[in-house]
Amino acid sequence: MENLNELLKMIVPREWLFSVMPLPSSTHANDLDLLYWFLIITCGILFLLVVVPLFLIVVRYRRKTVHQRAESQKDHNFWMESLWTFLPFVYLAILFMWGFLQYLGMYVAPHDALELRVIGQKWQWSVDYPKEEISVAGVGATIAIPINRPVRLVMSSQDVIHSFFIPNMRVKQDVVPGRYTTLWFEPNQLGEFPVLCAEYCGDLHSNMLAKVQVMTDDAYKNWVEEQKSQNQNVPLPELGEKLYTKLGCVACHSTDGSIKLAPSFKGIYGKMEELTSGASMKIDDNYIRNKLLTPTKHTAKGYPQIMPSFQGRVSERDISGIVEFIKSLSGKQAIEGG
Amino acid sequence: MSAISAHAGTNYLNEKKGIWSWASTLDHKRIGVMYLFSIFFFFLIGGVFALLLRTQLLSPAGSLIDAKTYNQLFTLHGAVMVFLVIVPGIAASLGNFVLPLQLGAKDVAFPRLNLMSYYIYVTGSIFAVCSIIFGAIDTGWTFYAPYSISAQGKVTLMLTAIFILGFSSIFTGLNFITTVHKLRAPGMTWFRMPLFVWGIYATSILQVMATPVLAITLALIVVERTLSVGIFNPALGGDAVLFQHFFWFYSHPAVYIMILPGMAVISELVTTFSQKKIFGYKMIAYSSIAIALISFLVWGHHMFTSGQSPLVNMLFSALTFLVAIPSGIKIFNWLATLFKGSISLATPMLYCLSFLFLFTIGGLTGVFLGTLSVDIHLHDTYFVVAHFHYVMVGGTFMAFIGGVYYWWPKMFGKMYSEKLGILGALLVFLGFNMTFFVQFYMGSQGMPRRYYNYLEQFQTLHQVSTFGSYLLGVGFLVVLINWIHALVKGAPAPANPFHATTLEWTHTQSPPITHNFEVQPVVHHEPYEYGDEPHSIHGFQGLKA
Repeated sequence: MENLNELLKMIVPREWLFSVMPLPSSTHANDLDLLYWFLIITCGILFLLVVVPLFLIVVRYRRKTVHQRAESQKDHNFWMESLWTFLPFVYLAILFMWGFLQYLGMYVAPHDALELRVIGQKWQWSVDYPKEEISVAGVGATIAIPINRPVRLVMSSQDVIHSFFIPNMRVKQDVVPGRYTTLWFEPNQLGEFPVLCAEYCGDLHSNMLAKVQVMTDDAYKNWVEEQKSQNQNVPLPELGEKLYTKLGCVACHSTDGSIKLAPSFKGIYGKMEELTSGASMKIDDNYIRNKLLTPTKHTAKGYPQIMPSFQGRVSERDISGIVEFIKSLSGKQAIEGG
Repeated sequence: MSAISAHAGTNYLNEKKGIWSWASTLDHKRIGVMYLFSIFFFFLIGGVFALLLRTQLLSPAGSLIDAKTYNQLFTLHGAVMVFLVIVPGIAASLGNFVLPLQLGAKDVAFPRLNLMSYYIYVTGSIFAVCSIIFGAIDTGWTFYAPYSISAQGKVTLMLTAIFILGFSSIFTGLNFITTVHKLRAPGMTWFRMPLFVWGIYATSILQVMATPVLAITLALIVVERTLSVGIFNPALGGDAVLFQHFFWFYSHPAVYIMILPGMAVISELVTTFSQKKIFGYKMIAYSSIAIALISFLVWGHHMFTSGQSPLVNMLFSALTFLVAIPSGIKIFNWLATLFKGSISLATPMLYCLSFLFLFTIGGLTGVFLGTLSVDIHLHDTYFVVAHFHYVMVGGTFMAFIGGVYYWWPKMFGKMYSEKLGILGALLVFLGFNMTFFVQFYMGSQGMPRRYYNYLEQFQTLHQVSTFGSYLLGVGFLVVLINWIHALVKGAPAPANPFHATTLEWTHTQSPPITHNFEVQPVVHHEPYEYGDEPHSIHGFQGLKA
């Protein structure tokens, strides 16, 4: 396989190798690109094998006079037909084996892989580092991983099907509600690489972005420490503001009064809100708390019930932070209610 | 050879007049024509949706329409094009018109059932249009659960529409199967049937066997939406991946419901416009049947990233490669037919050549996607979008337009303009490649499909694609103008302008009489015998015109 790789690099200039697929950044990506180029070259040859004869035949045998008849009415040739049945069979068998073996390698993760748990929800990714006891989340969240070490993601979805896709690593896996799926890769390039959702999941599907930041071991350790210390001692409203982006509230709730998919936070605290049930409720600390933990209980009139539950994902301090943040957008500082 | 009487004057178009005579007709030719115009109508609607989508994608954060509208538009583009245009497509329109004629029959086996199929199609499409007007859906044409369970819009209405349309498909399939078995003219053995008949026959088998599964699946979604029974939604104890298995169990064979009739048309065009006996008749006929059967066993290749087990993925990958082989055989057989032929470059043949070019690309990029590890990267990207447009539009739709041009003189007794025909064919070919070829590159680079916004690096490519789609739109308009022009001002068509050898050309006038044949044709030889006696071949002008 290494020899083939070298051979390929002699045929195809290096800069081309990287021009069709995005910069390969994992061990698997290098292997895959080899197969990809094998496909491009062989399928290119096959394409020419059809199109060049087609062109030549059309030029050579074009009807030039009204009386021109076909030069032959021969309608079979056993050897030719056997050839174009058998050769594709061999070619496809090779591709099948190559693709399958590579896929098996993609499927079985090494034992020492760093394990992350990923949750997909409309419309953001959140990633937990169980050993380090930290988590990152939100639109555009940075998922840091150390270089040259296999990472294994155990993923599930909170609502609909999403798909975790890192083009540079050449990995993709659907993230399905009600079950776990996994993928793994070993990054071998430092840098920042986009993470995209590849399974259509609704309004903001194309905004469901994150990035993988591949770091040196030391940088990774520092990053982990930084994350750990980050949420300590932050004033409540500031913590709330952070969570507002991190938990993805920003997708549906604006802070400037514009209407997205749910009521804007601006000036909402203390207001009476009409509910789909017909009743009205005052938006206070308890309302916000309930909405975070059991969102289906009450829904504001005129909006679809699309809010997911954050039960178990937010601490008491987080809830207080969010309440204080929403309050600050209504110009209220004193703590009211219970 | 010629059993066409010269008295003429009356034909199936002018024998009875008035709307009612069309609405109550049992004539397969009139029903075929009604299908044809209905399908054109929905093609225009689906095409407008596509142009709006492409316009939105001119800039990475474009704001021509909002995200919700964009999602509705790509859903409707897909749903309309698949269920109202290309699934009924060639089989219901050209199939209805041509199949009984090619068999030497007076009509299909069950003319009343045939009319009912058309009315079911109309009913289904009215439901679909209602769902678009009263609450456009945004589930994607694939209706993946659990998104479709909770999605807003008139999902149930659209599912009902497709449920109804399925019956139209099943009845047409039944009708054609019976017709082929029971109504062949005396002397027409199975291996004397034109290849168009073989292709439509294989398609009919798929329609009858696969469509019920789709109907059941969609009905289950409706049950789940209205009664909250947990079938596909994990929140209620269902299984989301199960839906994909059910859906693709129909929808993969459906891909062949779409492409087999296209291949069937191409077999006719290749032989007629090269005036040469088709190469490897039996291989082409058998490969249609092989494709039909194997296509039932490859649905899982739509689900390589869904989380199904590696063993299952391996089997589906292997079977997928297997189904590629009969398609390859057909391509080489068509090439061999052209070899040493007398090739006319009349408009239908230009579409036939476009088909060979574009379908080869569509097929070979399918090889990329069948390769397991490569598919993981390309799945749900623009590469897939480009691949299936090369197959469905570059393949089926090119064959469809070519077929309509080819049988137009027979259907309406009028010749189309060769000049406009060539212009349209060139615009369509260029526009199509410009729209979709760049999408292979975008997909390789990791541009996911169904994206309202996209990374800035893709802007230039998206713009090329969008301008290509405008060119393609203009091309289709030219085709449409040519057909309308032909209807209004076209020169009268002779009975057999392209010197074809099948019964609809040799034994009927243009357009045929209501009962098709003056006398029952009797078949003495294989379908594509061009003989040796010299004669002048009309419609040879091709590019010189």
